[in-house]
Amino acid sequence: MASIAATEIQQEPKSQTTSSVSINNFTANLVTHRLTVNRFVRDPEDLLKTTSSPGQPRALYITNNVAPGWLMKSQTVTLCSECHGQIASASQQLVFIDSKTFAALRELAKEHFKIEPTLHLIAVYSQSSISGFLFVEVNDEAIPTGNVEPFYFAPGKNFEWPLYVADVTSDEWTKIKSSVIKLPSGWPRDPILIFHRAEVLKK
Amino acid sequence: MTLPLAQAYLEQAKTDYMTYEIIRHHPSQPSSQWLHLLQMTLEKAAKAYLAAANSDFDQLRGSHLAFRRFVRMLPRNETVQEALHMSPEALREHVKNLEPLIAAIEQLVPGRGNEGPTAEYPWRNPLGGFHTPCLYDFGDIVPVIHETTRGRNLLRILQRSLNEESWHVAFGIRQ
Repeated sequence: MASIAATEIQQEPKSQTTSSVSINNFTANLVTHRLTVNRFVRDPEDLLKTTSSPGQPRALYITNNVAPGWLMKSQTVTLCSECHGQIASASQQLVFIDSKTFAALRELAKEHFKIEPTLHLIAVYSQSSISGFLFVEVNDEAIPTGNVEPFYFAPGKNFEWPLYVADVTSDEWTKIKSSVIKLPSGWPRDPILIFHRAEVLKK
Repeated sequence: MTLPLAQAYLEQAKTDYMTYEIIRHHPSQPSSQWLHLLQMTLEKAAKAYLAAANSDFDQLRGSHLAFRRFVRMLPRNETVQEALHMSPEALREHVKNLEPLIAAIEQLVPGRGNEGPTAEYPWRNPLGGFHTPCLYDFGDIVPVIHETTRGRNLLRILQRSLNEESWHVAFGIRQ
């Protein structure tokens, strides 16, 4: 699976080193800032707080795939090949998830974690157009099918986008990550976000 | 006349259920006959809901244990929560309670390692000879369906899945 790594940023620029990347005039929510990527972590839940919207969490992550343009402001950057022990590819994409969208996704994930005590991970996928999100939910009590067979949830009061939800077992999730099990047609190979139970429920 | 796949499954599920109700009340019909129809209703109803998200005809035909997967989605759907006037947590408990009965009905399908009982074909008795569905009492399922709260609740959920327009919209079977 291609890497998806959250990063931590600071508003003030720092000089670029082998483990950091400076980005000038990075646009997020129509506010221009000078940002410095100063370390790589694996978990998109490692949320960011920027002075552009104080107190509003945002997720910033790196993906090898083309990010859905409608969802995010993005800018392609060249990264160092190795940052804090994690291998990053030479050219990846730096993306900001709109805070409202991220909050809605996170809130929905939180609700699902609360409802399902045996659910421990939700991988969120998005297509390149506004056609909704796919939640692949890794659940200890999922019935193994060997496929990803989602159910459709129409937009509602609590979540304004079309949603597709599929329960999978841990073993199936391993196979999804290695592409042994394919997602339904039209969904990209890699998730845009991964929510972990402990992380979402503790906050 | 043609229909989208989800609606095609739904219409057939409704018809299976009507036939189930007719046969169930007919004194000369053995329980295997209506159990078979009930099992097919569950399967086709669930596949209608699956088809709304993924209309891969061949994959759906091979899909199994679909109704149990469908009911597990109900607590996560706000339209269903409102229709049943239940909190998501209460609804989950409600659904968990139904699962053993749903599993028993889904298990009536022959094949996939099921050596019996089935509602359709004879199966081997380990002590010799064969059982046949029409002469088998299905004593672990039949009384539960019609004489317990669990059975009645399952039939209510099934009827809503077949007939509740708001559910059809909420799950994308209809616009």
